[in-house]
Amino acid sequence: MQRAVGTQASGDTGPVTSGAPRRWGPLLPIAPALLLVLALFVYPFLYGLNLSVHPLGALAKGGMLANYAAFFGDPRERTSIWNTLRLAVPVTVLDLVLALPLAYRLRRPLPGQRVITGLLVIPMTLGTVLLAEGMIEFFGPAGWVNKLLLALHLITTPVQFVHNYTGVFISLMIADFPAVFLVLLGYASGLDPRLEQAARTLGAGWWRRLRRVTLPLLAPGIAAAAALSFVATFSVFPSAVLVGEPAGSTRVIALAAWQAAYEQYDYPRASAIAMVMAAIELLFVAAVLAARNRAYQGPTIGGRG
Amino acid sequence: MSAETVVRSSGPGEAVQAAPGRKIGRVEIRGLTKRFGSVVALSAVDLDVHGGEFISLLGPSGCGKSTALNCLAGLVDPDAGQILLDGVDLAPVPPERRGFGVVFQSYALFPHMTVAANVAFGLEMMGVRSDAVVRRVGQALALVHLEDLGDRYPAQLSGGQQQRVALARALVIEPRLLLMDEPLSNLDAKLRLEMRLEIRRLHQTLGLTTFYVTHDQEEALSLSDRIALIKDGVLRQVGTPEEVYLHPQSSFVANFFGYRNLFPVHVDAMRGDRANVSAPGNLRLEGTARSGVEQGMDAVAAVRPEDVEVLPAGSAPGIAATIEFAEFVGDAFECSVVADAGAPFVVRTSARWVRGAQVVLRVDPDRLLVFPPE
Repeated sequence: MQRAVGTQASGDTGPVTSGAPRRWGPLLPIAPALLLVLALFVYPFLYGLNLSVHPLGALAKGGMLANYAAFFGDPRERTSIWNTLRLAVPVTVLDLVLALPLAYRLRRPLPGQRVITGLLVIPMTLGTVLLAEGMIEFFGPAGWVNKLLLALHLITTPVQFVHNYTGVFISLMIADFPAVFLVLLGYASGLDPRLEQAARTLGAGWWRRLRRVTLPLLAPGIAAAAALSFVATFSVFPSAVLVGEPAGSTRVIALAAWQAAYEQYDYPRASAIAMVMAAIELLFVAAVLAARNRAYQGPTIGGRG
Repeated sequence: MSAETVVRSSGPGEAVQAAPGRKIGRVEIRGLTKRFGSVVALSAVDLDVHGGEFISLLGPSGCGKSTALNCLAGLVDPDAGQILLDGVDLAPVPPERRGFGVVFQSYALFPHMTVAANVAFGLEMMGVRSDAVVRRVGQALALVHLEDLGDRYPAQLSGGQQQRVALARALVIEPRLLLMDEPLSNLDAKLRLEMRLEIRRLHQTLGLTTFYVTHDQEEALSLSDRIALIKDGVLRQVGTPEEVYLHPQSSFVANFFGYRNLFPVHVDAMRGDRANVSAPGNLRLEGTARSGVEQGMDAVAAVRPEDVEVLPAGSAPGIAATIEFAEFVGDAFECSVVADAGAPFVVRTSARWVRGAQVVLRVDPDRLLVFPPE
């Protein structure tokens, strides 16, 4: 905050510029991010919350919570939560289970490690739409997967992989994996190999090393990856439409909100659904962090010395 | 097997038995060899260690001493050779079943466990009953004077306290061998001295066969029953601290134990173990030849700073030299001296010499050692 030395000679200007700005100075670098969060997250959130408690039309006389009551009172609407959960939870769990051993294996330099890591991360660069198009071809009735299964005589008629729950499930698995993998890789490569060696010399076989040392130390990473993955998959929208069955089994909650907003033009109702969505995501993240704290009670920093 | 152990270990080892009751923990290392790619970390190392002996593996960093320790712990598989513990080959025994206490340089405490849980870990892996675990953890923490810190996490401890926890964790399992890899190198000088005494006390109390890896000759001298000097994966000399300090067999070992003046010489003549040598700049000196030195060969001469006598110029015959600078080091002055012929020496004197003073240097032929070239 200090002026250049040359201008200090003029006297009073120095102390004047070093009052308030110096105190707030350290915040300056984060100011753009803070503004962005306020403008793009906090304001829209509060705006939507306010909108959701001012119901339109027939619901207007039902009070502030009429939109919420309507959502939970309608079985078709209510089911969208279940439709989303039964995608988001298994996809998150399965991606974690697949990514964890890979990230652990690749935590130290191996021959070909860059290539493997690159291949694993590529799906991230594909948009959901491109991915969906590819899937329709690849997994379609005349696609390679069915052709292969037919040729191997594992099936007699083509299996329906897309335009149903399976299609969305596969699409989310692929799109979500890189983020989970990269988060876990970051944490796994920070593991001190000496800790496992110490556990070994103290008599711990591989299973007890994993359960007592490695997994607890990776718990913060697993929690972060699970939270990210769940939030991303719970807000699934494009693939639920493109490779799913949007009128039935994959009518996810984001789709319900979209239909309220752009088919019925009921913004307050759509906002209420979005609030429900946010609440569920928040609950999940809170649960994951609580579980993490149970697994890893030590300080989160300074443990690698 | 135990009878044989008692008989065998009461041989040459009894002079260094720290705890008289302890007759196990005899280690024989035979032809231990390990390569990492093209680098030879250990080259056919042979070493016999008596039960209860404290042995230091001493050498510069990268000399292979840590590799040797990792081979003992089972964390590194040797390419050739074997390690026998009380006559039993360790090769088929994985580290988790060796039951050795290992203290790592970085301590490797589990950051997500309390001090007590860290110490209890090995006992739990052994299936010790939980009431016995609590009792033995308490004893181990008392042994290292940390009985009040069991509930803390490692990150809340000082370096010295972490070091004690690492020791307690290694000792609580009543290991057959204690392996320590530069355990004091992360501590400041004062704490290092304190922990050194602590380690010595623990060794005298428990009498565990201990391998202690270090690059600090002072640590090795003060702690060890014997010191094994390693250079480039080759065992160069094994002996008691007095032996290696007073009778180094090579210029490498001499350099490690205070022979700070090492310089190339030519052996002009030999009379018994007396060697007349000449150094660059036509310096002529008389020294004591070590085995392997022959007339006419290029050799290395070594002398300690305190064994060089410094006299005023002209008062006696000797090497004419000039004081370059003098450092006060507490109990003496260490001076850098340049002989007029060009060779620099480090000398230790009780007198304060000023920069630029003209002096003569004299060396007792008994104190100037002549080694064959490395």
